[in-house]
This record gives sequence, C-alpha cells and structure tokens, in this order.
Amino acid sequence: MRDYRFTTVPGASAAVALTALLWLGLAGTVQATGIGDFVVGSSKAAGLENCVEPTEYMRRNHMEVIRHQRDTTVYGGIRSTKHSLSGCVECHVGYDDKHQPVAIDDDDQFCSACHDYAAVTLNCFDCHATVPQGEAWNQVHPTMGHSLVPGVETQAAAATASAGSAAAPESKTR
Amino acid sequence: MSREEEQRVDTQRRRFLGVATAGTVAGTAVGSGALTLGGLAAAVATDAASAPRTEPVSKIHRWGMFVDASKCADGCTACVDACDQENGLNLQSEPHGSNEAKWQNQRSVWIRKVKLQDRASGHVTNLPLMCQHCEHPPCVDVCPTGASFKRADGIVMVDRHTCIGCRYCMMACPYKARSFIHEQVDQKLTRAPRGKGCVESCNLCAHRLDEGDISTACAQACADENHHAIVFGDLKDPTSPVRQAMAKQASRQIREDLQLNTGVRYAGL
Repeated sequence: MRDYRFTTVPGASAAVALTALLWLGLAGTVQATGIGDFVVGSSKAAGLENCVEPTEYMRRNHMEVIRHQRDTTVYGGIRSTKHSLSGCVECHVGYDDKHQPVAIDDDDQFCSACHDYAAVTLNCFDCHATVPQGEAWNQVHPTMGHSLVPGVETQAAAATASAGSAAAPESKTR
Repeated sequence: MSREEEQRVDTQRRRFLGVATAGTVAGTAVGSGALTLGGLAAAVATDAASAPRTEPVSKIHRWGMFVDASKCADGCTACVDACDQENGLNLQSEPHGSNEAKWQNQRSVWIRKVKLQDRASGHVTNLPLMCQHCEHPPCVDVCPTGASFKRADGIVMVDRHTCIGCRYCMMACPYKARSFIHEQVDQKLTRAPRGKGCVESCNLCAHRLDEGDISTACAQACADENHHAIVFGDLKDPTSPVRQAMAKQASRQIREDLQLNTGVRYAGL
C-alpha cells in the first residue's frame, strides 16, 4: 500500500501537522510517547513498546490481521493466538476513574477515535464484546510468536522481555 | 458417505414425507428400529490436551452427548440456566414495547426442556433438546452462504460473519434448535458474540473445548444437581464417558428416520 503521507505534494507537511493535532484532540488523554499516539492512556497498551506487530504495520493492516484470525478461530477453533480480537479489546480498552473499563467503540476511545476521523464504519462490535468480560481462554502474551513483518523477530522478542509483567496473561474468569 | 448411500437416504426421506402426510407420525417423534452405532466411526483414542488449542480442530474427535431422559427431573432447569449463563443468553433484554409472550417465544434459547406424555398410559418423559450436531446436518444443506457449517470435530455452528439472517436453517432443522437474534444486544460476553440479524444455536461450548476443557455447561450443571442425565464426551473414543454410558444403555436418536446420525443420543425415550 502506498504511504500517501510522504508524497511530495505542496503543503503536505502542513496537512500532516494538522492531522496530528486533530488526532490528539480526538483521542483525549493520549500518551504521546512516539509509539502510539492514539493509544488510550489508561489502557494496558499504553505501557507496551508496540502492538502485536510493529505499530506502522498495525495501523495499515490491523483489519487484515483480525479477519484472518476470525476464520482461524471460527473454523479451526484456535482462539489463543496473538491476533485475536479479544486480545485487541483486552489490551486497548481504556479505564475510567473508578477503574471500570470503557467500551472500546465509545466516542474518543481507541477504535472510534480513528474510525470516526477516517469515516470508516466498523461493525465488529455489533456482535463482539466491547469490554473484556467473560473471556474463556488464556490470551497469550501480545508480543509473543512469529511476526508477520520480516526482520522484526528480535524487536518482538525484546519487547516481550522488557514488557515483563505489564501484560501478563489474564486469569480465567470461569 | 458414498454416493449410493446418499441416494438411499434421499428416497427414505421422501417416503417418510409420504407417511407424514398420511397422518401416522408417532407423537414422541421417534421412529422405529434399533439404533446401531455403526455410524460412529471407529475408535481413535486420543485425549484433547488441556491447553489452549494451537492446531486446527480435526476429525480425531467427534463431540457428542448422551442424555438419559429417565434421569431428567420434571421442573428442573439447571441445564438451561447454566447454558444461559455460559453463553450470555441471560444478557438479552426484552425490546421496549414488546409483549411478554412474544418475547418468550422469540428470545434466543439453546436448550429447551421438552415434556412428552404418552397418551395411552399418561407416562411423562422430560428431556433437554438442543442442537443434535448431526453428521449430515440439514441446516448446512440449505444455507445459501455457507455460514451454517460443521466443524471438523463434528460441532455444527454458524459463522456469523457470513450469516445473512435468512433463517432457512431454522426451517430446515427438525429439532427447532436454532434461534434468531431480532434485536441489538447491549451486553455481550467475549466468549459469546451475539448481534442482530444472525442465527445461532448450541455449539457444545466450543470455547471450552478449544481451551482444552472437555465439558459443557449443561452437563456440568446436571451433574452438580446430582441428576447426571447429560453426559458429554468424544463419540470416537470408546473410553470416553459418553461412549461408556452408551455402551451400558440402549440409546436412540430423535427422528432417527431422517438418518442424520445425530451427535446427541437419548435413552429412556
């Protein structure tokens, strides 16, 4: 896919700056650490180096990754891999002042912040749970396993080592 | 199943329809003839590992249940309640302005308690009726999008990503096992996604199996009530609890005349 942000159109840099400002405004409490400007500060993801794949890759391809996983889960019964939608929700869901999870598709939350801005309808949450509730399997560590991007194996491994207990697998609710 | 057998099944079903129109269908909805377990494939005894699944499901297992209707207590709804809890069915809420009777008829239900009474003797039989997980599921035959499918391990499921909500499968199912979700559901469980416009039914607690936990909520609840009417297990493993139970006691399929080779077998009918 072409990266349109780096095309040499006059005024492109101004547009990028404006976009960034809009993102920050929309996402509310974001942690601008350069790893994920759109990650909700109170989420588990805010404390991690990168997503299950490098951030740039995820920004462009998360939908493909989720769609692939969906068939693996429905037909193959494999629910524990790092690309599961429940993993996305578990890691990216924000928490309010009372430490209660906020629906991930609520206004200004992780999914909607970008999807509203880009005017792309997402319908995952017509059916899927928007907060971690009633998980039935152990989520593997988000940065474990083989990367979809060549040459980032070491990065993922390093992230696993450094992230440590920050993203320990959730205990079973049942 | 060979092509010849397929043909044979077809003619039998036609003959049955002829009989049905003549008005001589038994009230208990159970055809005649002894059940042979020939349809259950030869034994392959390997236990599912008690860890989250990393390999796709395979034909090594075929999950199924044995229900002893004589142990199923009148008025007990433990299995239904447990199923509701496990699969988030209790999170459905009645749409505003809907009348209660209509809602009770429409809400999604995976297990129904069915009460049969023999007209001649007055003898009452209770049984839980859910998706029978047929080897040759009619719901899969009629699905126009392929959303209704049979998983390799014998579980008949709906892929809601491709379900268009036409409800052909609900019409095709002889067991009235499927439900349609008419309204948006506010609360969902991670393990049980549910949305407006899709059909769903019992999936033998596939999320438990995929995690290596060989049990279903209904069987567990029934055992907890000390009724032990429902036994769950691998139909291909002769050492599994379900096969052990079936070896001890005669069991049959509901509507065995349809030759669907159901994965749920009943005794005491």
